[in-house]
Amino acid sequence: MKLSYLNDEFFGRLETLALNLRTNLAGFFGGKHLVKTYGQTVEFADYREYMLGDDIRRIDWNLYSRFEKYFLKLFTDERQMHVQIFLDCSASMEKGDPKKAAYAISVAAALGFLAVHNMDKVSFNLMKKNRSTNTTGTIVGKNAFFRAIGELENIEFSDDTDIAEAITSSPNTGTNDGLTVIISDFFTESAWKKAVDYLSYKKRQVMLVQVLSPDEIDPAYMGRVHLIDSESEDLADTKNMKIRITRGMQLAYAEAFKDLVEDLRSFCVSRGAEFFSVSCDKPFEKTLFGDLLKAGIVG
Amino acid sequence: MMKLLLPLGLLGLLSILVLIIIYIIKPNYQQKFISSTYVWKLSLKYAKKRVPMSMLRNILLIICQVLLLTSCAMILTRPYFADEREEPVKEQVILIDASASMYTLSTTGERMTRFQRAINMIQDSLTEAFEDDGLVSLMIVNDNPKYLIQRVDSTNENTLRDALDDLVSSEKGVQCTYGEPNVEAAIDLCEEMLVNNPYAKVMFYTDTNYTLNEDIQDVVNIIDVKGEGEKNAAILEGRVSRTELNTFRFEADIAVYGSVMDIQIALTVNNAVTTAYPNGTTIECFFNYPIPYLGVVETVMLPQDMYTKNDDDSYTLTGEIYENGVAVEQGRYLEIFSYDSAEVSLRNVSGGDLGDSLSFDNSFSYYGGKRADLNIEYCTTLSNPFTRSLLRAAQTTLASKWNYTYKVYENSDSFETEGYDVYVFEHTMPRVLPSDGLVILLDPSGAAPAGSGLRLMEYKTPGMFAAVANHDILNNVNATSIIVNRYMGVTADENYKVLMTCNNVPVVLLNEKERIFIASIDVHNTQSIINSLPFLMCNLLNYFYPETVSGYLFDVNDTVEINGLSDAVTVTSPLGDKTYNEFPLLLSLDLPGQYTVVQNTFTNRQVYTNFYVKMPAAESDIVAVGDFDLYYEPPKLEQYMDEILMYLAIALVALIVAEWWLQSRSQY
Repeated sequence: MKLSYLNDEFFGRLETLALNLRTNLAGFFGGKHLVKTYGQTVEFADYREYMLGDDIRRIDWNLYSRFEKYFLKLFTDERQMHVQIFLDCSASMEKGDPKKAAYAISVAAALGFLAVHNMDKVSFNLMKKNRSTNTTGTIVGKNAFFRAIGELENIEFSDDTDIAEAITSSPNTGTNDGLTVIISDFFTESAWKKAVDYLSYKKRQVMLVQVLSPDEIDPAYMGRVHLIDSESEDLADTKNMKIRITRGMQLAYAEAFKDLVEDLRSFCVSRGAEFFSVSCDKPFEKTLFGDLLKAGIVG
Repeated sequence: MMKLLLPLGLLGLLSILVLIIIYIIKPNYQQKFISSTYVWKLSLKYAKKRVPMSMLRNILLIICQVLLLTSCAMILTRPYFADEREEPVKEQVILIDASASMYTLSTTGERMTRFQRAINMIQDSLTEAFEDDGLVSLMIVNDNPKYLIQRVDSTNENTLRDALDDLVSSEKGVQCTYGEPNVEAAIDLCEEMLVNNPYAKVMFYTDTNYTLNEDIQDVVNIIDVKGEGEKNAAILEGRVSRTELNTFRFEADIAVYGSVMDIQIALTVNNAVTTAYPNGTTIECFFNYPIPYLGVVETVMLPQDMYTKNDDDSYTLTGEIYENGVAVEQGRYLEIFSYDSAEVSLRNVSGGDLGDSLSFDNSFSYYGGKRADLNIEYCTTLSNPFTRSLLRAAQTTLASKWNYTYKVYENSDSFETEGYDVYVFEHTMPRVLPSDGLVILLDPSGAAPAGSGLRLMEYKTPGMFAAVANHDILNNVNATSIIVNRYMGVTADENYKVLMTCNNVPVVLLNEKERIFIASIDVHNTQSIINSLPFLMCNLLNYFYPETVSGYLFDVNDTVEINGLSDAVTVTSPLGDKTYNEFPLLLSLDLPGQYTVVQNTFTNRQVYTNFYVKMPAAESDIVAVGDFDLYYEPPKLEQYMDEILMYLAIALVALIVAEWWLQSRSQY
């Protein structure tokens, strides 16, 4: 039976978490997202000169009496954000540690829940190989959300994933209207940075969530081992490697891992994206309150 | 230079090959399924930074393991450092058996003695012995082995060869002895030599089949110098004994070696007193005696064994007996009541020379049948049975040494003062003491003889004796036990030595130079002298008339003490005559055969004493065997070997520790 954290208790805690969030989410979630474009809200944004064809009802007569020129009052526009969650469904997300896959799904579900709780739209895109598929469509409202959750629980993690290709080839990445979350372990040679850049070009908020198992953070095994990659096709696959793991190798692994995470983080910082790395053995509340809080998603 | 005691231990180095194979064989990798090897692949480049150290560590580990296995292999080879002393020096110690049996002459082929053969063999071997800077020593193994030449090299080869030739030269004769070899002493000398050079070889040229222990078979070579056709019939020992009828029989222990021989035994008895010739005659016996077994000693008694007793108690004579040149008829049993001397010899059955290989043991002489006379004159004016008994006791005690005859003059002053060896004057003294013999004055009375240097004092009553001087004459004489009823003090000049006193008055004196003994005690009335005076008398006679030699039969190389009765003795030996003037004379008996000591008594009477020197019975066995027990210690290598082993062990332990440390560090 597949491990799953998506139970009533889980969503109950999320509900409580969401109620504790500030109403005014000047962040990622909340249906009332102010955008830089001018719209029909009552919040004053700016003035501009009258141009032929403008609605004369928007002329600010006070300003005319002062300057004897016609100026229009501009008001902020509100849009409903579309949270797109791209979940890496490669074999590496599950084969190493089933908890990792469940945890990743939980993160996706949690983020999705927070989105719909705040009246945003959410869609779950499952990345596999070089494609991403949205089996649940765009979800609005909690009812649709809970219906979609069942699909998440049935995800089969296999093959590998080209994150860049999966995201860039996604038909509906949206522009300038929301958050894109990429949930993966980022143990890939895929040019995921290209995906981030693409999303940045699309003026989307990007969040990278790296889900890891404790064994991936700090492997404890040593000696002569033939490491079989979960995404390898057979034993002769070049992804597999024979290595004599000594203490030195473990230190080298730690160093490489640290550099990998740091590379992720620094790239995200440079692109204005958010990044956080979580371990699947860490309590989920801490992940939400801790890492998300730090990221400014909540609070 | 380091050497290996067990080079096969180097096979242990093959373990290094095993080690290499272990490294080459791909180790077993355990499969482990992980999510992704992506980070591990990334870590490789980080690991490469550490590669130089780990590579160095791995190299050190392999080196350590190879050195460890090499140390083990080296320990197996037992290496040692040889110093200068351990370099083998070629050396031969040549021993020549110079005992009597080496005179054995071969009867077929090239006729030479064994000794000559040994010399020839040594001469032939010297060239090879001196090769490669070899050293040669030559030892003569006789009763007192010593080196003739010691540790000479080829530059002195001629000297050695000349020394060998001298041993058998016609001028000097064969330099063998007639005794037994002192092999133990020779072995001691060899052992000393082997201590200095453990690589030396001992070459023993001998006729004895020596058995060697296994541990010296590489060091000692026994070279047999026996020739062809050698045989020996020998008289090993002879004895004279008395039968139940108190007649003499001459016993001879005979044996044959090398080859069975039929021999004839010939016995000649000189001045034998028989029933037919009570005044003495010469007896000759010839008896063919087959000896069927080699090396078995047969005891023959002559002439008794020549007779076979019949059922009717008559005797059948086997062989021939001549009494005064006349053959003794069958049926008459010859008895010898006394004799002067006898000789037994071995011949061939035809009566001719035996023709065996060793002739020194083919005859044997018996002496002691007649002793030299010692004439005693006993003069007394008051006959005393005690004094007579003294003389008889002395006669009995010393019967084995002298044939005592004594003449008694009793109750008379008519006595002779010359022509006797011993004069005993009791209660009387001549006007002039005899000068040609020992004069014993017992309980003297009257005036002291002129020129004697004595002065007699008056009689005195009982007194206690005391010995005041140590002298051989007083042996076994307990002076303090003598209590005399009457004694007379004697004063004498400085030529006299006071031997005993009575109440501190000299009563027993001795003038050795003039041969005058005086005991001025009343022998008639002194009981306590019964025990002491016999000893005194025997001691006196022994002292002034010691037996010339202590026996009549000796072995070669014995040393006999010859006592002289006068100033000089002449010894006739197989070497010839020689006169000696100093006594006691210690004569070394180097040759077997008949010896005669001729000397004059004080009365100018010639006294002949004969004795026989025989060859050791063991040397008659010309096919003898023996053991050559030489203690040999191989060259001491363990000392050096142990030192190296210790260092190797230390290195081994250090390498084990280093390997363990590197193994533990390689986990990091």
